[in-house]
Amino acid sequence: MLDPKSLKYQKSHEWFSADGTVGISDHAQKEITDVVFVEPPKVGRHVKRGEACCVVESVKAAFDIYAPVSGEIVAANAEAGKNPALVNQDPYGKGWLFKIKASAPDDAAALMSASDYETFIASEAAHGSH
Amino acid sequence: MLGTELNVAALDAAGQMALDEAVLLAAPAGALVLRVYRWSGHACTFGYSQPYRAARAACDARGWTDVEPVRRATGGGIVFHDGDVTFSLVFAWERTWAPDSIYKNIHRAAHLGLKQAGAATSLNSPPRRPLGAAAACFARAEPMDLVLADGTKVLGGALRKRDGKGLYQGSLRLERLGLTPQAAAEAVAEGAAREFGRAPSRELAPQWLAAARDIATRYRSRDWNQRR
Repeated sequence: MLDPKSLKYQKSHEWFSADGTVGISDHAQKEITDVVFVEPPKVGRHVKRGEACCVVESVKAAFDIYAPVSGEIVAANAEAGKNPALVNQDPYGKGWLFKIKASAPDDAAALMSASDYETFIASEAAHGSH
Repeated sequence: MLGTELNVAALDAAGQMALDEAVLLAAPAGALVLRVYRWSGHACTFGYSQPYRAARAACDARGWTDVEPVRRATGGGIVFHDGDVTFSLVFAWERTWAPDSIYKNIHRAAHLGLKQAGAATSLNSPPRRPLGAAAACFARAEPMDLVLADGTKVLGGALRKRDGKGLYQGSLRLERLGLTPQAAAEAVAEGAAREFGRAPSRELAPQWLAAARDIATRYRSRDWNQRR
């Protein structure tokens, strides 16, 4: 399991590690509740930062997951596809979604630090439920 | 000039799904858009993650061998659209991801509108079940579905979150509500206005209709419907 404090985050609640791994935050998986389906992107696909490239579904709702950086998808978590509950059980470990080989190194610098993400979550909570 | 939903021709399942997606993609941030479908015939839709073969088999079992089931962008189960009032709502969904609270708000809106129209329903709150929903939407009531006093499910729906907006697609069964389709549709609109504090727009921009015609090609495709 990765240390959440070592990761970068975007406002749509994806985390991004130094090796290009992407998942959703613990906060996000708790809000979604029981994940029943994961559709990772195809390996080899080129994505732009902010592009919807993966889908996670709970019992009633499907959520687009966005690429935190531009680049090529170099791995997808087939285990999470087979066992979507991993996203709930281990969001920073076995519940990772895909890996990107970044093509624009500056993209990662624009993401939030863990402490900034915590502040962001707190501000969202303060603004109400929608 | 904006068109209204009454100006939109009756559509098949692919056309309806495409128009909802077009509205979701193009509606301005903060918009609240209600659309009540006009169907061109019997239709079947199924949830984004469901296998095509299950929907195909369900249609065949119903004798709908000539109806091609269409995969929705939203979650949920298989729905047969044969006399239901089907409606969609595009709304701002920015901060939280929590689908339960969104689902509850929308179904409470419908509950309030139906109550005003004289149809008594309640929000279902069953004991915790094992993970997963039934394959067919109306096979059982899930939490926050609208049910009658005897537990019969009358409103089920599903959601898609994209960017800062949400799409809800719902199916309201009229058999035991004692309402006409038009009265039920107006009840949903009235309830939405009360729940969200403003009347939902029911106008459709011409460019949304044009975009939907392109998007419909995907919803008619084997690649989309039979992707799993």
